[in-house]
Amino acid sequence: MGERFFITAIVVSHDGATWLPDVIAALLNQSRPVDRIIAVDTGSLDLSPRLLANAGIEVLRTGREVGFGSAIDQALDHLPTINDAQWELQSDSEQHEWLWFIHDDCAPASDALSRIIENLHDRPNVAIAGPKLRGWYDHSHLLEAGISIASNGVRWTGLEERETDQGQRDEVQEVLSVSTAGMLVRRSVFESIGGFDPNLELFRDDVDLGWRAHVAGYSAIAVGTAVAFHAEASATERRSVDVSEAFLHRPLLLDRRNAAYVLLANSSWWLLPWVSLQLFASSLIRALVNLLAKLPGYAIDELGAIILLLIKPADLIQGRNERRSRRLMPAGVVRRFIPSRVLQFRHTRERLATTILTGRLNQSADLEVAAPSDYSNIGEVDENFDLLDLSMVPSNTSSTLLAQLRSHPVFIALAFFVTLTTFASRHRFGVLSGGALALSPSGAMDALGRYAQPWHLVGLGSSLPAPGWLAYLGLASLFTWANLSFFIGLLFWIAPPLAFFSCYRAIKRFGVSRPISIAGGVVYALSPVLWASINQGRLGTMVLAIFAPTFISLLPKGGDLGKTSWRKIYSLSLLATLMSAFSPLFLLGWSGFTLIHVGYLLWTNRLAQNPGGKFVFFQGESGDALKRRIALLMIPWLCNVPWSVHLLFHPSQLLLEPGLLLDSASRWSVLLLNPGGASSMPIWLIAPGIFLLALTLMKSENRNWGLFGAIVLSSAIVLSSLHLSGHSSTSNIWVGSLLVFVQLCGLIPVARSANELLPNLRNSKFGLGQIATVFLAVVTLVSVLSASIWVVNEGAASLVKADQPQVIPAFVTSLSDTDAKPKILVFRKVQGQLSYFVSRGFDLQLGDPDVSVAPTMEIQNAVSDLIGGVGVTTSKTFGEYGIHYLFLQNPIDQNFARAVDGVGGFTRSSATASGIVWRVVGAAPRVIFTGKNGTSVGLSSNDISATDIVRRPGTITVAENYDQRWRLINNGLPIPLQHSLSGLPTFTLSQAGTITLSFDGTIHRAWLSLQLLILLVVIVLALPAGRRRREVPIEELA
Amino acid sequence: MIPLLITASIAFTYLAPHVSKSLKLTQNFPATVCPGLDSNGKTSVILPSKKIGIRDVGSKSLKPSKSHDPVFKVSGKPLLVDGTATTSITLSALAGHWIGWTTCSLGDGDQWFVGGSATVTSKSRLDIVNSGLSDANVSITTYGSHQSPVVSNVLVKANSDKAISLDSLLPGESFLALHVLTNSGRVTSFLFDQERKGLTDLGMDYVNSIAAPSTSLIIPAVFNNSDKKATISHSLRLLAPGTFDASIKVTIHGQDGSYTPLGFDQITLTHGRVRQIPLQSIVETTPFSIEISSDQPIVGSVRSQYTQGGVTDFAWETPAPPLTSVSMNLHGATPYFVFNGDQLNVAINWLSTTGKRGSVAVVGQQIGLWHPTSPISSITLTSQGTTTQAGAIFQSSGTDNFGLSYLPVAQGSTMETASAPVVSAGVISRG
Repeated sequence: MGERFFITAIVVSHDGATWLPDVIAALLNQSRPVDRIIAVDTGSLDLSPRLLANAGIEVLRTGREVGFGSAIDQALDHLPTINDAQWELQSDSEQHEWLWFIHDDCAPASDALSRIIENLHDRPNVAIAGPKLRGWYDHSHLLEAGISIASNGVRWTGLEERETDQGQRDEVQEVLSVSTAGMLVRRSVFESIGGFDPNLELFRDDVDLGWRAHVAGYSAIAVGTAVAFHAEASATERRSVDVSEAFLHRPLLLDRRNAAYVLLANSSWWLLPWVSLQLFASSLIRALVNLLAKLPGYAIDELGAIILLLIKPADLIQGRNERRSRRLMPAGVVRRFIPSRVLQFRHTRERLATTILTGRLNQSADLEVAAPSDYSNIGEVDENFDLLDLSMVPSNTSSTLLAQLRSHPVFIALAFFVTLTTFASRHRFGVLSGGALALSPSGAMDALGRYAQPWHLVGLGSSLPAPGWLAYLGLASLFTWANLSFFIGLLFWIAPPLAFFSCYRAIKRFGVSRPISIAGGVVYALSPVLWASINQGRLGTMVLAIFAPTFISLLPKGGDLGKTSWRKIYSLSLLATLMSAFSPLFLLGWSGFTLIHVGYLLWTNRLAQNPGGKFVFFQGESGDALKRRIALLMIPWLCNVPWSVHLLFHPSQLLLEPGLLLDSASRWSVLLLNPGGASSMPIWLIAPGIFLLALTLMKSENRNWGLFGAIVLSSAIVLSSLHLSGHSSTSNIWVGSLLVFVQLCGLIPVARSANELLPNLRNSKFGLGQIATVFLAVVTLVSVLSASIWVVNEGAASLVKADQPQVIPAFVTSLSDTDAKPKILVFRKVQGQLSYFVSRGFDLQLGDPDVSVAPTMEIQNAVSDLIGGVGVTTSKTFGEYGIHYLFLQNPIDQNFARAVDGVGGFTRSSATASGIVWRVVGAAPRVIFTGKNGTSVGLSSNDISATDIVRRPGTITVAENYDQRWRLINNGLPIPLQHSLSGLPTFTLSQAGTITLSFDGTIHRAWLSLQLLILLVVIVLALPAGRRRREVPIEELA
Repeated sequence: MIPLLITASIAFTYLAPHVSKSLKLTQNFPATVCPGLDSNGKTSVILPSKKIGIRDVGSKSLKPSKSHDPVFKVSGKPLLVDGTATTSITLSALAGHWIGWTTCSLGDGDQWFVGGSATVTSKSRLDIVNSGLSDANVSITTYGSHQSPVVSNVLVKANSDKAISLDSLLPGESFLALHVLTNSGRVTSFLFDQERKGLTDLGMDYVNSIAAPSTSLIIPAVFNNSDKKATISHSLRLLAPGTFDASIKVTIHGQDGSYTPLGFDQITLTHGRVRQIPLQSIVETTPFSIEISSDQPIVGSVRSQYTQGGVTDFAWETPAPPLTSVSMNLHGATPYFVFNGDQLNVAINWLSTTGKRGSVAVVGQQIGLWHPTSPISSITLTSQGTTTQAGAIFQSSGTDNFGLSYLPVAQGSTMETASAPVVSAGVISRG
C-alpha cells in the first residue's frame, strides 16, 4: 500500500529580509513541489512581509512578541481543510499531511524535500524528519545532522568544532529531534502530542517536540542526503529576539532557561534532583568562564536562566502534567540520544584544544615577523639568505629523526640544554636545599598555609607578612600534584631550557631570524647570573631570569603606551606582579622606571590646559599613556599586598632577594656581569654580556638600550658593594636580578643589529663591522663552550643539593610536639664566624628567612655573655624565652664548648657526630602561668594558640616575640597585654578560670582578601575577552 | 657624549663609597688553671702581677679577687687565674727539697701524659680540675707496658677537682702513659709524679702534657751536667697509641753536634704498649735536645734522674710546642734555657731581681743554651727564626734545696680572637 504526502510549508519570518529572497526561491524551486505554503510574519520591521507577499505566499501578520510555536499554531488554525482534489486520491494509498517548518533564514536545497520524503516511505513510525543543516555563509560547514540535549542543558549536535561536510553524515540516522529550521513533521502526530510547548517560544522547542514524540511512540530521523542552509540569525544575535518570554531580549538567557525547562519537564521524576544539580553546577561553571572572558552579561544570563525557572515553577509543573497525560513510553526511551558524560567531557576537551591550538596558530602567524621567509619576499636575491635561514626551510625529503631535528634547530638547542642541565643537576635530584634556598614545605597546602598565617613559627616568632612568591609557588606546584619539593626540583632542573626558550622567543619577537635568536638564547641560558642563581639557590633571580625576556619583549615598542590595549597593560602588570613577588629589587627598579615616566608625562601634560585653566592630565593620547603608566606602576604593588605594604615601610628590604642572604662578588666581577659568590662561574670565564652592552652603544638606534643597561649596571655595581641586614642574616646585596636585565639590554639589540648586518656583511668592504663581528663571535663561542664545560664539571658542585642532612637532631625535633613547644638555640661556625639562630625544632623551611626577625636584644646580649664566659644568668634568659636546648653543630668550636661548660646552667644532653646538645636548666614552656606566690606551671599549648584552666590569679607569659596582636581571654573577658621584664608578652589575671590565648589575624586576613580580590580583577582584565555572538564577523560565521 | 656619560657613571660607581661588612671582634686570654698540691707539700703560683684576679676552684664565690702578692701560696685547691699575656707558673716543693715546675694552663680538652708509675713506690696522681660551672665528664685511657689500655670515665662536679691515684688506674704497672679526654666541661688536668721508697723520698716532678701524638717529637731540653760527683741517668718513655706498631729513630742534638746513639736508629714500638728505654752512651756534658722521628704518631718523654750526695730527684722532660713569644715571672730562679731549631734566633729580655734589665739573642743552629747569671724576676723569650722549641731546666744542688725540674717554654693560654657571634638564620638551614 502506498502513501500520499501532502506537504504544507509554514514559513515564519521576523525581520528576515536579509535571507528571505533566497529562502523563498529555494522553497518555490523544490524538485518535489510543496503542496501549499503559508507564512506567518511576527511583526517584522523590515521588508519581510512584502517579500513573502510578492512571492505569492499568503502571509499572516502577528505581533512581535509572538513566538515560533504560537506562529505555527496560528498558521494551522488558518489553513483550510484539504479537499479531495488536493489529495488526488488513489485507492490504495494513505493520506498524510506533513508540515514543513521553514525559518526565514533557512534555505533548503532544491532536492531537500524530495530526499526527505524518499526516506519516509518505508518508515511509518517516523513522525519527525529533517535535513542536514549547513552554514549559510560557509556552505561546507556542517551545523547539524539531528540534535539532542546534554544532561547539563547544552545543545548537542555530536559534531566536531567547525566540522566540514565531506559526506560523512550522509546516511539516515535516528535522532532525538531535528531543528525546526527545515523540520518535517506529521501533522496528526504534531497535533496529538500538543504541538510546540507554549512555554518554549523560541529555542529548544525542537528538542522538546522530538522528546515528546519519542515518549508518544514515534521516532525522528535526520536525512543526511537532504541539505538546508541555515544562518542561525537569532542564535548568533543577528536580529533581536522579541518573543514575550525574552522580555530582556537576551537570546542566551532564553536558550538556557528553555534548556533547563526541557530537561526538567521531560526527565523522570526521580532524576530531577540530579538533573537540577547538574544544571546548576554547569550554569555556575559557564558563568565563571564567561566572567573570566569578560562577558558579564552572558554570565548573568547563565545564572538568570535558573532563577527564572525557579521563580515560575507553575509553568514547569503544568508542563510535566501535560507530558504525563500524553506519555505512552517512559522518559528513559530517549536515553540513547542523550550524550554520556564521557562523550561530553571528550567533546569539551577537544573543543578546548582546538580553541587553544587555533589561538596559538593565529598568534604564531601574527608573530611571524618581517624576516624574509622565502626568496620572493627579499627582493634582491642574496646568497646569505641561504646561510641565515636555512633552518627555516623545512626539509620535505628527509624523513629520519636526525634530518627532522636538523630542520628544527630550536629542538636541538633545547635538547642540548636538557642534556646540560641533567648532567649539571646530578646532585640535585631530590628534595633541594642549600645556599639561599631553604627546605621546601611538604605540599602546596602547607606553602599556602604558611603564606596565609598571621604569625610565623620561625625564630622567636614573627608577624611579618609572607612574600607573595610563596603562594605562587604553592599554586604552581598543583601542576606536580601539589608536591612542592618536587616542583622546586623540577624548576631548578628545567630553568636553563626555559631561560633559553624564553630568550629565544623574546628575541624573535623583535623580528630577528631564527638562527640568531637561537644563538641569543644560548648565550643567555649560559650566562653566569643564571647559573649562579641556580647553584646558590637564588629562587627569585632564577624565576626572574625565566620571565624577564618575555617581559621585555612584551613591552610596547618605542614606549608608546597611549595606543596599547588595556588588556596588554593588565597582562604586563600581572607579569610584573609575578616578577616583583620573586624579586623585590625588580619591583624597586620597575617602580622607579615607571615613576620617572609618570613624572615626565605629568610634566608634559600640565602644559595642556583647558580654557578653564584646569590641568587635564588624563586627556588625549598623552593622558591615555599616563593612565596606563600609572596602572603599570600601581598594580604590582596592589597585587602583592600586604607584603608590598611592609616593603613600603621598610624600603631597605626591597634590596633583598628571597631566601637566605649569601655573600656575592666584588664590583669587578659585577662589571663583567658575573654576580659571583660560592659555586658561581669563575671570573676568568668571561661572559660576552659586557661586550654586547658596549656594542649597543655603537649603533644609534640601540643607544637607548645601551644607556639603560649602563645605568642598571652602575646601580648594580654600587649596590653590590653595600652590606645589608635582613632575613635574619647579613651580606652584601645580591644584584643578580639587575644583571639579568643588563644582559638582555646587550643581547636583544645586538641580535637585532646582527640580523640586519649579517646578510650584507659579505658584500660590504672590510672594516669595523667585520672585526667586531669576528671578535664577538669568537668571544661568544669561547664563552659558550667554556661555560658548558664548567657547568657540567665544577658547576655541578653547587651549594644546592638534594637530600641534605637534617640540622636539628631528631630527638630534639620529636619534642616539638609536646606542650612545652621547646625552642633550640643553634650555633654553627661558618668560615670562622660563629653564628646562631633560634629553631622551633625544625630546619628552616621555604619562606621562613623572609619573615624571620632577629632575636631580641635580651637574647643577643645573653649570647654575647655566653661566648665571653661571663653569662652567669644566660641560662635564665634563654629559659624565659622557652629555649630548652643549645645545639653546637660540628665542627665543634672547642672554645665555645668550654665556655658553655664553664658558665653553668647548661647540662650536656648529648655529644654526637652532628654536634653537642646542652639542656637549659629550668627552661620555661611556651605558655607559663606564674602564681602570686611565685610558683610556675606550664600550660598546654598549640603552635600558636593555647587553651587551659588556671586555678588562681597570677600572670601568664608567652615565650614569643612581643606583638600587639596577642590576645588573651579569661572567662570571656579580654585581658590587657603587657610587656614582661624580659620583653615577652604577658597578661595579668585577676581571677581563676579558663584562658584562651590567640594571635589576632583579622587585619592580615583582610589584607589577603584584598589581595585576592585585586588579583582576580586584574587576571580577568588580562584574560582574552570573549566575543558576544553579535560581534563575530560574518566571515567566521557558518 | 653618551659613551662619556656611561664611562663617567661607571667610574662614579667605583669611586662611590661602599660599606663593608663590619665584624665585631673579641680578643681575650682565657683564664688558666694552676694545680694545687695538697697539704703534704708546698705550692706557690708565680703570678704575672699582684693585681691579677684569682679564685680558688671549689670556692662558693665565683668572683675573682686580687692576690696582693705576685707569689701566691695555694691552699691545696687549684687556682683559677684571669687570663693575661704573661704565663703563670706553679712551683711545688716537698719538705723544701724536691721541686716541680709546671705552667698554669687552660687545657684544650685533650691531654696526653707520658710519665708516672703505679708501683708500690709511686705516689703519682692525676689531678682533674673542672673550673667550669657545669659538671664535667672525662675519659682516662691508661696505657701500661704489659697490659692492655684501660678506659675509666670520671665525673667531676662543677667548680671542683678530683685527684686520682695512678695505682688505682693500672695497679702494678711501672711505666704509664695517660690520655685524658674531656667529653664535657672546662677541664684542665695535671699529672704529679712522686716516688717514695719506705721513708726515703726519691723525688717528684710534674709531667707536662702533650697536645697530641705526632710522628716527630722534639724534647728541647734534657738535663745534663759535668759534675763528677753527681749521677745522672736518662730513660726514654714512648707510646704508639694507634693501631699500628711504630718504628722510631732517636737523634741527640748536643753542643758537639747531632748523632744517633747506638741501637737507637730503629726501635720498634708495639702499639698500645708503653716502652721505657734507658738512654745510655750519652757523651754530652751539658743539657741537650732529643728528636724522635717515627712512622706512626707517638707520644713520649724523657725521665732524667739526678743523684748527688745521696739525694735523688728526677724530672720529666716532654716535647714543647713551637716557641713564639712567652713571658713569665721566675721569682728569682736561674734555669737553663735550651732551644732547638734549625736556625735559632731567640731574643731574650729579662729583668733581674735586682731590677736590672738585660737582653741577649741566642743565635745558632740546631741547639742553643742560655743560662742567666743572676736571679731572674721576669723574662720574655721571642723566637724570630725558624720553628723553635724551648725548655727550661731548674736544678738546685744545695742540701736544703736539692731538686730538678723541667718546664716546656709555652704560653699557658694563647690569645683567642673571635668575631662576636652573629644572628644568621642560615645555621638552621640544610646545606
